Amino acid sequence: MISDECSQTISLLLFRAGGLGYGVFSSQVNSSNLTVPDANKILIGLPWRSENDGMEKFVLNYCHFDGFTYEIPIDAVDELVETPIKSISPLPRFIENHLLDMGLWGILVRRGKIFILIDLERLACRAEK
Amino acid sequence: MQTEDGSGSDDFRFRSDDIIAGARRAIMERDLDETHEELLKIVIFKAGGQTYAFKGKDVTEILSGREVFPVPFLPEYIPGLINVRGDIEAAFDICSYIGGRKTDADKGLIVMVQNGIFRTGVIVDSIEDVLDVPVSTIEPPLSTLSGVLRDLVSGSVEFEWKSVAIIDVEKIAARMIR
Repeated sequence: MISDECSQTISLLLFRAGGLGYGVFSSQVNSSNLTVPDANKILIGLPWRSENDGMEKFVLNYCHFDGFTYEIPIDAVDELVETPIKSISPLPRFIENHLLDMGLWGILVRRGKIFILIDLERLACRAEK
Repeated sequence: MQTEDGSGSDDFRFRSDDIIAGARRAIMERDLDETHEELLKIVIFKAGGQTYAFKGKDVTEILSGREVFPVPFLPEYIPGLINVRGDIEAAFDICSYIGGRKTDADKGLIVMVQNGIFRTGVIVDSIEDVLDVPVSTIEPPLSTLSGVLRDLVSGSVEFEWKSVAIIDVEKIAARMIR
């Protein structure tokens, strides 16, 4: 997460879900574990299918500022990266507002692959509306 | 039109058609040299099987072999994003946007267009030609245009005996950024 205005890097957790690459601020992930997701805790509005089918999955746990811990079922963790802020590409202007509303805020290109960056806090606030 | 092998094709052209077109173009260019008439650069392209044009000033570059990365929550006419030397831009399917069939993003070219802060990559099937046409030959948009296309076209130009709609990037931008 960006600690202050002078911060030059951000720490991102990169993972795969629904066939695409994603990234979240590592500070927004409290823990990860292999478990059967709790349907009542799965974060609503994720960009991939995330129903509880009774199978064990990798789950990222995000604790929202209201104290509720959301579960984010994913396919696999890729890596934890410390990346310069300047390496983050903003979304094209004319689709930015629409995607921000969905919790997507930027793109990281790493080794030729694209990772879609999600702000879990923004997504959780939207889910609570 | 019926071709020699019996198959029907609207695209069939006699060799003489091409020669006539070339000769006409040569005459037009010669006349232009003589009259110094104001010219407009036009990029003619095909998308979804139809022929359209952009004004040359709106086109910044033409890219080939560019992978389109899918991103969730985008409208159908934006099949994904493209990486243009580190800049992330939207891939815009103009044909789908105006209500036609989807253009195959993996097989086509990307025409980068820009107007002010609006910049996007338009997926096209092929580039047909780049022409300098006299401004006086630009006709008003065809009255037969309908739907979204009608709002995007600023004029028409003759190309290979057909009237081709000139899609105005400024008009696309106005619809996208509002």
